[in-house]
Amino acid sequence: MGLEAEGLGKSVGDPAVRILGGITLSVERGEFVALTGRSGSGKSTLLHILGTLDRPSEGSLRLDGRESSSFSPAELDAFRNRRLGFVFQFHYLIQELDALENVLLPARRAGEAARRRPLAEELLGRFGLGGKARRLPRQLSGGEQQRVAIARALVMQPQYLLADEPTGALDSANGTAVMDILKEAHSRLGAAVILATHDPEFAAMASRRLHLVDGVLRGT
Amino acid sequence: MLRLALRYLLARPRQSLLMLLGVLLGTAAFIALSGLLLGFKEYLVDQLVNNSASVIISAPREGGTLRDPGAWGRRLAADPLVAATCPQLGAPALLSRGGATASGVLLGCDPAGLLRVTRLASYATAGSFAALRGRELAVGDSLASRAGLTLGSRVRVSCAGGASETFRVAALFKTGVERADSVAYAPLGAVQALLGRPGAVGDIAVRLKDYTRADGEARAFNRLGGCRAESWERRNATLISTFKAEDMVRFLSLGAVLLVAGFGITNVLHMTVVQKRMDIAILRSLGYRRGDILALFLWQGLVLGLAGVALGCLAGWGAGLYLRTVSIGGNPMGAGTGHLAVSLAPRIFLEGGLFALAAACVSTALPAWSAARLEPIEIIRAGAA
Ligand SMILES: Nc1ncnc2c1ncn2[C@@H]1O[C@H](COP(=O)(O)OP(=O)(O)OP(=O)(O)O)[C@@H](O)[C@H]1O
Ligand SMILES: [Mg+2]
Repeated sequence: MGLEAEGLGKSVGDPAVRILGGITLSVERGEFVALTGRSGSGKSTLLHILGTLDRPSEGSLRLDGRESSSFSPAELDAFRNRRLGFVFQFHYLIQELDALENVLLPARRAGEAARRRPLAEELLGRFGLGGKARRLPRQLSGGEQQRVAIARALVMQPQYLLADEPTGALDSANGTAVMDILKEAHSRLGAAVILATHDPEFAAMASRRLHLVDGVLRGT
Repeated sequence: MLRLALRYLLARPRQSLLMLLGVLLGTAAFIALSGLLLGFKEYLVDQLVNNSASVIISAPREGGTLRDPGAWGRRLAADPLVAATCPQLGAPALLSRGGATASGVLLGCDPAGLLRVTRLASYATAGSFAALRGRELAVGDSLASRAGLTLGSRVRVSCAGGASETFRVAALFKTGVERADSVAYAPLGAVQALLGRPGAVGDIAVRLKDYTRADGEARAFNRLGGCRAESWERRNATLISTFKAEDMVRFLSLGAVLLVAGFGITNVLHMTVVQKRMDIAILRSLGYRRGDILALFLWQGLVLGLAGVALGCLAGWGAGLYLRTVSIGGNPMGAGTGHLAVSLAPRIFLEGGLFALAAACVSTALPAWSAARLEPIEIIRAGAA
């Protein structure tokens, strides 16, 4: 079980440029992995592939023991819906929906909006947004919006949380708050967290560290 | 996805309103136009069917007389499709009174029979048709005014050949149709005497129980020979052929309005798709399917379409009711009520509604499809850059 990559690579463009190559790794349930590397080293690309948003051009990826290429589109959508949580550098909330509705989006897709509503409210409360659940994104600060996005990623209690520089657009106070939330999500929900970050301090909080250099893993 | 679709629509009230207005106007315009055209058609058919006979059986030669009218009478009386008959003898005539002279048609008939064949009695403006006897006339409005006749007037009626006789005006009527209002009806016997052709019958007006079977019945009469039978449809063939073009006019006009409205919807939704690319990518990353994204945009079109059609039907209905109150005085269209005849048949609303709804869906389909085809990864990568 877990996310297992073997010889994973990605080439783009024509002529093909390899931006990721020979990635072999496995992330077990409950791990907290930091993914570091310079800008352009391929962190986002790897996270997108692990999160089934992007397809590898070579190698294999096993999701909970099953080859990802054998998933139908519907199964991939369901996997993202129930097993994965994404947090992006920019929070990407839907502007027409209030905080609580944004958090409940994955649950609504799964047909569990009512059932997961208490959890959604609890998450918002724990993230210091208890009184702001009914606010629209534009009435929230950047840090608050990012916390809403994290609550959204956690509302389905996923096994994997993929976070792509979630603190990148935040000041240090907000960044630390977000990191605390991720750590708590990891310990309380037991989700495996893969965190792409530039910040060595945040990377040090992880139980394991993966370092990318020009699309290749170094010093696992 | 309906919930989010509604939020999107409400977040851009001006654009949504414009799209809605397009559908609304298309539907309403169609309903009002159809109401006018169909109302006019119904009015005309009603006039044609009820103001004259379903089938007229005439002599084979123009102006001749029917051979053995008695045999025809018995045959028609035994025919189960026939509701009523009226033997007639007509001739062009001049009506003169004092200095005024007017030409028209003198039509001898069995007054009671005529009233059963046509609806003429209901157009009486003075006196009574049924009471016509001896040398009495029921004169159409046009002819009466040209000859200066009023109820009770005495008038000299002259026919070709020089025969003339004084009649008394016992009834006046007005159908609104010039040709019909230039006729003077008299009892058959009086006309036969005036023309010096006792017992002669020029034609027999027949009313069928079901006017739509007139064509077939006329053909059956013709097969019997010795006569020329024509249905009301044949007699008004040119008029009826214009009805056929009318459906085309209605749907062309609806199509034109909806094309414009449809382009509006397509444009605005295309813009929405572009603006909401990030939302689409996020939804997909959260596990929403292509079909969900498709539904998200289709709902927007469907909601606009449904709301537009509903309001459009209301507006069309209101317009129809208003048009009904428009007075059009002496125009033939206004005969009877003196107002525009506007149909508000359910069929019009159904046609307009379905067509407008379909147009809204079709114009939504393209943007929705393009939204569903977007690759989330490309948007997310572009957004992060
Ligand atoms: N579709 C593509 N076409 C061309 N080049 C691409 C494409 N996708 C990624 N790249 C390139 O691949 C490299 C890795 O990109 P990626 O976004 O994964 O880096 P990153 O480590 O996340 O960087 P950052 O820290 O700035 O976010 C970059 O040099 C990028 O320009
Ligand atoms: Mg990146």
